Amino acid sequence: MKLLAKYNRINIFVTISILLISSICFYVMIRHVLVSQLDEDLKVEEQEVIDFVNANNKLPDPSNYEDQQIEFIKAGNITAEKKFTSVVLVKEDHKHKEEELYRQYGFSIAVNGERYTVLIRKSQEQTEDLIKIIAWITSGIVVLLLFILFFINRFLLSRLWQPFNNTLVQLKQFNLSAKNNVQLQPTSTTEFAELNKTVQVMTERAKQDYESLKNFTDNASHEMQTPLAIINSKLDVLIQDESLSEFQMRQLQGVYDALDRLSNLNQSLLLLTKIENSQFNEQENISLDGLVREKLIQFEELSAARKLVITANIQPVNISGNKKLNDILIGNLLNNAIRYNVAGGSITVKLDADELIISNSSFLPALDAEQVFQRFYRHADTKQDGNGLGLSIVKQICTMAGYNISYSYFNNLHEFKIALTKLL
Amino acid sequence: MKILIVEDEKALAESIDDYLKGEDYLCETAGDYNTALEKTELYNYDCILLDIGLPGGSGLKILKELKANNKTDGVLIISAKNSLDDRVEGLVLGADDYLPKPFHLSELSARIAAIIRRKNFSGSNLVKFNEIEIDTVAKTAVIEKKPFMLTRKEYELLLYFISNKGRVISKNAIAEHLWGDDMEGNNDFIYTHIKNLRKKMIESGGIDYIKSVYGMGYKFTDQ
Repeated sequence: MKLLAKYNRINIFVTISILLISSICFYVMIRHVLVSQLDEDLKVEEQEVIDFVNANNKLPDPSNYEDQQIEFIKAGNITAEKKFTSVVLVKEDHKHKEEELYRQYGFSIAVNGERYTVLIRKSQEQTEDLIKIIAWITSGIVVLLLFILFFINRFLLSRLWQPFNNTLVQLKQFNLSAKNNVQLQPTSTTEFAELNKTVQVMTERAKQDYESLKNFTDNASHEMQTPLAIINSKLDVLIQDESLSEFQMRQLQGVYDALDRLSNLNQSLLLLTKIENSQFNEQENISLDGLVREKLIQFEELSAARKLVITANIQPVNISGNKKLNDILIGNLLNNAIRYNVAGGSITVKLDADELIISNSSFLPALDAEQVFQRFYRHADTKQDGNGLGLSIVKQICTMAGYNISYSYFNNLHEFKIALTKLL
Repeated sequence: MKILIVEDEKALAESIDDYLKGEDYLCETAGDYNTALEKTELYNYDCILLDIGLPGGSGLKILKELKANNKTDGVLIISAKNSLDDRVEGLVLGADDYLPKPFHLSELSARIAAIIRRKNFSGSNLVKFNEIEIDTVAKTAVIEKKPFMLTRKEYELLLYFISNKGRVISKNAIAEHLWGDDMEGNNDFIYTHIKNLRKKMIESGGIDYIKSVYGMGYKFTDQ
């Protein structure tokens, strides 16, 4: 759930609860104040009635007005307690009944030895009307407040979070091997400024680590070349010795083969770092179909030996790119398609303006699409003849060229598809 | 034929020296920039094997000096820095060839022979071995003056053998020469090509000079 939604949910719930509770309190208090006011007035009336009785020694006339009524009831011996009540009186017109709420005060009074219960009533309707108006205004304000809060949250908060979102976008685009650093927009919010600072430091450190790792690979591979050259040359000289026995020669063959693998691995590692370091930046117009055909001819001998059936559907495609890299790209894919094929198997090459697809039969089951491009990934059933870097190199070339490469497996065919429409 | 080996790795220079001596080359070595510069200024060589990373300075600077002094020595750059820039720069500066380390000495020897052939103008595009003659410009071969039809790979193989005559060449070196880095683990193909080459040499009235050496490699020899 979005932070804003989460915040809004809590915020609106709390706001509504608080406003509701405060409204109820408000209502109760206003009502209490107004009713007390009414009661005061009734007390004043009581005093007036008592004063009148004391002065004239008789009861005043009962009155029956809309807003104030005074009634006297003979009470006999009963002395009524002084008490305030709210009563509903039904007023009857010839047309309709109307209920009206009154505040009533009853007390006893003695006139000439006779006891009377006096009931003074004042209309409570106005009070109720006032409370109603106040309630309406209050709820109006509550609704308005909620609306305002909602919009403030929506727009103000998303504006406040803008720097965070910017940083997030930058982080999503962050690429270790890219030359440029993350570009974070300065912000006046302390928290986000801090976040940006941390992100900056972390990405720079990651880049540095990556850079030094890359340099290490590069240097290590370079440093390995001279010893490899020495071993190679010593072997070349050694085998000239005519006194070597067959047994010794066989041992030397083993050394040669291992040396070849090591040199090969070394070359591949160097190639990978070189591609990563963008050392192949010459761009030229390449006829991709020509390149594919050329490679197919180069591999003819190898594929013929395995009796592979090659089906090629190649349309003329011209691209702008690095010739050497494209050469390696196609070479590696075809080499794999042949190397991991079964005798009498098939290879299909399809090239058009949108994509290059190379699919082949193989003795291998489906490969792990997640891992297939990783360095030194080999399926358990492969013999140790590849160096495990071929597809990493392919992937790296595609990444640098902005192509998307994907692997899929169906109908017992391994398929590598390169989308030639550039992503970047 | 005089060769100067400019290489700071003693062990490597030694091996190159050992290998080339057998080819009737006269080899000198220089282990650093100053020695190399001095030697190139004083003497003329048929071919200079030039390492780029040298103590005291870059081999490319020596190449520049050579060209500035209008020297015609052949130059073969042997570098551990198999970077495209070095290669391009070296060739632009006038180097005749570029061989990245590690390399097989048989490959080195064949490259040197090619450079010297190109440098010597007097009918030097002909490579001879007894009754076999190869025209390296037309890329054709004759045996006893009779044309000798070869496939591209067989031609390359024959030339490679003759450039390293009397030497044991490992199958690994042959594979790398014929196919480069593109295809690994295809030593079986070498056998097929060699079988065909032998057959053609005999059919054309020549002698099969290719001796197998314990399954490790081959030797082209008339002894």
